[in-house]
Amino acid sequence: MLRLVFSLLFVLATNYAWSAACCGGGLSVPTMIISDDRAQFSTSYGVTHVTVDNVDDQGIWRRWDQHQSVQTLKIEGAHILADRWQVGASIPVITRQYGDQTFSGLGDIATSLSYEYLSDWNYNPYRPKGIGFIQLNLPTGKSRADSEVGGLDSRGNGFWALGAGTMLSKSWAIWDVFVLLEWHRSFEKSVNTSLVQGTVYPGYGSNLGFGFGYNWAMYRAGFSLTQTQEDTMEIKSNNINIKQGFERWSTMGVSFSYLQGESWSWTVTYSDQTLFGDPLNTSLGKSLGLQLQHRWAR
Amino acid sequence: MSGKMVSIICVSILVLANCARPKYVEETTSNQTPAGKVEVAAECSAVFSESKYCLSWYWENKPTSKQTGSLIFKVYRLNQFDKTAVPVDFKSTPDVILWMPSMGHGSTPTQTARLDVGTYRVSNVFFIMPGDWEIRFLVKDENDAAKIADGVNVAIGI
Repeated sequence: MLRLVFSLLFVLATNYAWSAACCGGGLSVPTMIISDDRAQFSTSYGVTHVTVDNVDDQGIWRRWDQHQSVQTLKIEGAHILADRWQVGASIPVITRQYGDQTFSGLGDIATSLSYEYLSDWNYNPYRPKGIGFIQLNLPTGKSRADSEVGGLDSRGNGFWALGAGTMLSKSWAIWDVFVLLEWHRSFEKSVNTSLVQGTVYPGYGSNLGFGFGYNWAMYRAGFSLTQTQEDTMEIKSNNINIKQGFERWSTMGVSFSYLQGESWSWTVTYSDQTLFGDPLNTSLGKSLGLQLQHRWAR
Repeated sequence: MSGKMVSIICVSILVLANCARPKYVEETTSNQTPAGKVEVAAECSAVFSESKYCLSWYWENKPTSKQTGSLIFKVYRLNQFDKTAVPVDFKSTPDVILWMPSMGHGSTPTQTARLDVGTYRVSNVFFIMPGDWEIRFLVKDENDAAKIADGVNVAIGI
């Protein structure tokens, strides 16, 4: 059981780091209880430093001597509704800095409904535990399309979005693994700024990831790799159509967790978007985060 | 005696004549094009989509990662006779937007001021990241400010 708990810690702790380093974008993965607990509550704080300011549509990386940094404070909770059903929610507060400019505010609130469609009740050596989920993203954060300053004040995706996906997890002795698949659709909205007047069509996106962990005593060390992609975003105004390029980036994460008693746990996570994959039309960053989680047993 | 006098007079005339510093008025003035030469026709590589006016621009102060910059741009039409530049004004001062197409976002707002007929300064030019950008010179519709009546995009690498 502890190993499954740790798997959960790992996924959650790297969650904030999956978004595009610059200007918001991307969609986080929902808060879920993967262990046998009744409820959980966690808070995390992470700092992301943009180290590659721009990767263009040819895959060329560019960096300046001044970079953005993003701080994310997040509270998350999940609760069992019935035997296999659960709900979850996350509320981030995001602060973005560039030079002497600082922008701060509420990010996108995400809610989710999950169902455990594969149970590991008999500890089958091969069959994983499977949880399917749907997620609703509320556009409480500011999208880069709403920004008057090129996305420096953006705080997330900023669109209504509906997602669905699954997480498969499995433990063998001291090892655990998980696979995560998630697809989402962001919905269009009207924008009226000095830069853009019209309708923005964001399109589809996905997260595809896997990870594994090594457990000993009250500790766990883990690794994960997630590829995120977002469709071309189109802006249609009265007489101008603008198309943004297809976005893609990969986030590698390593984590170290400590289980303090049966109910509390601490996780330190380092993530890096510059090491894997073939990024396009994005910025890349490195993040350091700390998460504290409390769980209530069934 | 008379011969001597004539000789002295002639020598004096010659001496006076050698000392002369004549200043002739040029027959052609400096603002006239020398015969056989014509004014060079203006380039028109960036063209506004509707009016077909031409645009040229240059950095007055090139922006950096930490400092804003400014640029000067000129709007002109080509003289129908010899294709030289004739400055023209739009009815309203054009707006200038900095846009990164690949990532679908702009940058901080700029300010445009008219300096002379067809000549404008764009200040507060700042790019929030390096990469391929567009400088969009836009003229709003005089009846509907939400509509763009004319414009031209210039691609640059930062």
